[in-house]
Amino acid sequence: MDKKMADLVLLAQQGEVNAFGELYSLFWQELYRFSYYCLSDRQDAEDAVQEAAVDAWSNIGSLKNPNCFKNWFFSILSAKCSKKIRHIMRRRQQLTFDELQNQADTLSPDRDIALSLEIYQHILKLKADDRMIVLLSVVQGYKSHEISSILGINANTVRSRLHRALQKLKNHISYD
Amino acid sequence: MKKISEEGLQQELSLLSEKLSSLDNLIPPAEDISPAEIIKKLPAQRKLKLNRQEFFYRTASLAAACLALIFGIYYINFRFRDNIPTNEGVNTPSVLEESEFTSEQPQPTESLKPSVESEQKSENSREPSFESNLGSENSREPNLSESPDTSSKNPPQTLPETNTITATSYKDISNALKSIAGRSKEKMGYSDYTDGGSWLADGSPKSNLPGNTDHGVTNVQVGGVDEGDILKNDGKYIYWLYNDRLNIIDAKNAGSMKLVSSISLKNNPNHYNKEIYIFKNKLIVIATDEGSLASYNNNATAEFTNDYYSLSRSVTVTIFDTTDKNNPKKERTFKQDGYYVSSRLIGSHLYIASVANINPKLIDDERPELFVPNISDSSATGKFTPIAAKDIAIIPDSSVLTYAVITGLDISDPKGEVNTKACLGSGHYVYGGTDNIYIASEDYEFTKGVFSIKTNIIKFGISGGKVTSKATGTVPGTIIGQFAMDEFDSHFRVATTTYSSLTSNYLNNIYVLDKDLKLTGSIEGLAPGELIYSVRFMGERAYMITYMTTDPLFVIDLKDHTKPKVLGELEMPGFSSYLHPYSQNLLIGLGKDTEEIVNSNGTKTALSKGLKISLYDVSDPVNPTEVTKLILGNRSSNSIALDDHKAFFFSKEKNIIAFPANLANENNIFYFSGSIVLSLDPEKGFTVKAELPNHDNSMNFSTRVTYIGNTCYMLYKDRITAYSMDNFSQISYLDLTSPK
Repeated sequence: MDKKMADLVLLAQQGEVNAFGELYSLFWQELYRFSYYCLSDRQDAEDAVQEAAVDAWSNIGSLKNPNCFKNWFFSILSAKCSKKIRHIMRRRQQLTFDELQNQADTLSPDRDIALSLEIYQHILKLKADDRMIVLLSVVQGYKSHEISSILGINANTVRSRLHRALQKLKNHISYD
Repeated sequence: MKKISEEGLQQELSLLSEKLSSLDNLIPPAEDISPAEIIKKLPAQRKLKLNRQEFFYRTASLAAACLALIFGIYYINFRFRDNIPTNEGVNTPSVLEESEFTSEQPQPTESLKPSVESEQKSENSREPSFESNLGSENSREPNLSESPDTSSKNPPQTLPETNTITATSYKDISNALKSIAGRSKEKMGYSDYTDGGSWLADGSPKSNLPGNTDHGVTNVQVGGVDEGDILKNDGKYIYWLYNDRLNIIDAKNAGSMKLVSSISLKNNPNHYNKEIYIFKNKLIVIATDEGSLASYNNNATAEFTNDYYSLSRSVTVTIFDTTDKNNPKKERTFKQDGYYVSSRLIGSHLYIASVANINPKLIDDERPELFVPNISDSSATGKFTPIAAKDIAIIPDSSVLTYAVITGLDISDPKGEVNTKACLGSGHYVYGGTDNIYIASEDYEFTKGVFSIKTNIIKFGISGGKVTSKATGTVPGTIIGQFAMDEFDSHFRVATTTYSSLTSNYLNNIYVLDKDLKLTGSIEGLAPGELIYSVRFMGERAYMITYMTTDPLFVIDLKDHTKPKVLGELEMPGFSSYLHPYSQNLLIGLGKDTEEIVNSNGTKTALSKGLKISLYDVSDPVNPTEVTKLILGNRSSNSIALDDHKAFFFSKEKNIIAFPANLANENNIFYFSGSIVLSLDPEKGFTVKAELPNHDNSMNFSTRVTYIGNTCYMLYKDRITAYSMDNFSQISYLDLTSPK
């Protein structure tokens, strides 16, 4: 898989747009899922992914290590999400929470989803960077050193902030 | 010694991941970004030459390491020991002291002295001495690995000393930056910065400015020191910043409010308007823009890397003359580099704080505008100019390549000069007192397997629009925000949370520093395992609420600056995120009610319940009590006021407490979004006077409550609604989106 990805990156760097398309298809749903959790809005999430793809394509020549392609892509996407979070807080597309709420209404009051909604709501309340650190860990399963290179933050800072964010989140949910 | 381990985090994460993954099936499918669609959207020709503009501010390259800092201390101390500049008004007491490290390395002094003198002669030209400086740096390198480490050397009680040194030339600055940048192997977090402004604010509300009883004012931390907000009220007009529009509403007649002007402030997509101030006939708008002030061209020496960020910001201050409310006139535009941290207005004197990044690859001695903050002033040339070297102070043990920048200006004097100072350091939170502004930032260190966090503080004196660098200090731990800081009787008090790697536990502390930010007294290790949720300093007392599953309220005596002590403690469920003084001995707390439960594995967690507003009686400090409380809603109920004190409205004269609230029931169904208005009788408790719903039933954002005379106004998004304060019946409303 890595060799394939590396080969595709090299092709893409030479201008092969189909190679880029294939790279993108390897994890585009992960990109969207992460973006969606960050931004809680389909349109915004799609915009962020699209902008990140355009940037990744335009700048793929600068990628020195082809094996880092996915993390590098997430790095670009994180920057887009970070920017969008500010846009969103301006526009306040919080109604997506209502959409989630409405969907929850039509289901039987399922405790797990209600709980998850609450956690998610608290995640959304975290500051943009903490939110991304939490989501990169929880949604993408990235380890601290990977998040460190994606976001450009010292790995210990990542661990510390993640720890604090989780402590805060822990206080708002209960476990059985 | 244990650092925060990967394994411990993974356990917590896997549970959270499990819970969150149940939301996966609720994610709407993406339609337009499938691989086939995306390929169509990629530009036909890939740019072969990378756009320099996009990659300039690689704040991800911010570099720091303890060794580099120690080297910086050596280097700068030796260079400037004989060369202490005098700045008028600058009171940097520590400048003349030698750090404890200088004595260990006598040898390099000789090689540096000649270069110090030659630099004095020519500020901005490249000199041969620069090469020799590099040479001497390298020759000292082997010694650095044996250099003592500050953090492990100093036990918690002794705070490391910090010095500020004012630069005499841009060369001083560039060398300091290069030494910090050149030594580090790890990147420091740029993203510790949060933009200042009401919706990302951290602290709790402030007491109203004194003397106003006929109309509402912004809830500020320190009386007489105004803070920017999205709403301002001068008793006749209401000024509302929403959606990048400034709206001025004539509210004298509640029955017929008029929108007298509505100005679009969105200059470009990346221009974000944060907050406004009013003072007599002036209105100030504070906004942020992307990019720094200096425009870069192809002569810059930046390189592209895999890390992609556009991270520079600048702050734009626009001053309008509002003599004619129908037609506010733009009078002055001032800009300064950096992320906006906060600002304060005292009388007509505005102080703006920002944090500016440095790209270590752009340190070019001949072009200071690339590595020092720039400002621009429409009342001067209007072009960007770098801050003078003499206005920049260097903190040798700063571990981030950023500047804290403060500008003072007099808004009543359109042609008056601005006064800008910068300090090599960072800033996240600001405490604005009447005479001094303190900028605090988090700083992370990882040395010899020990991970520690500390808070650096930079003190600037402010007076009549002038700013002077005064002192720097540092305390262990992190702070929750501006309310964790306070100045009283020339002393600076701060509440922090530290993490002890020995016990894997949080500890909470209060430090008292003198006017030079040297430690005079402290109390440490309070409420192990809990985090500070709110703090309020009131003169000789401090009230602090820590919380993990239950909420102790601590009453702390600070009368003796050398001996802070806990007088009493109250333990109760729930927590308060914001404490507001009601009277000398009564405090209002706004927070959440929670229920502590013990899990099957013995650990405790807390079930979140409704919003809670409490009244605490601290007249007997040894036995504080919760006199009365009111719970609103259940489970996911929340309020912006928990994190943003400006959303908390309190008027003792009118006996009104108001804050936005989204209330949910025990099944987690939201049934109310709007503002809650309460009254308080200390004997009888809180009474709900009104529930003012948001007109579009959306969740709260951009919402404020204020009053003029006997009319209460609620501003939510693009509507202002007037209510009678007798019975809170609606009088009228005005939609602000109608085009003029």
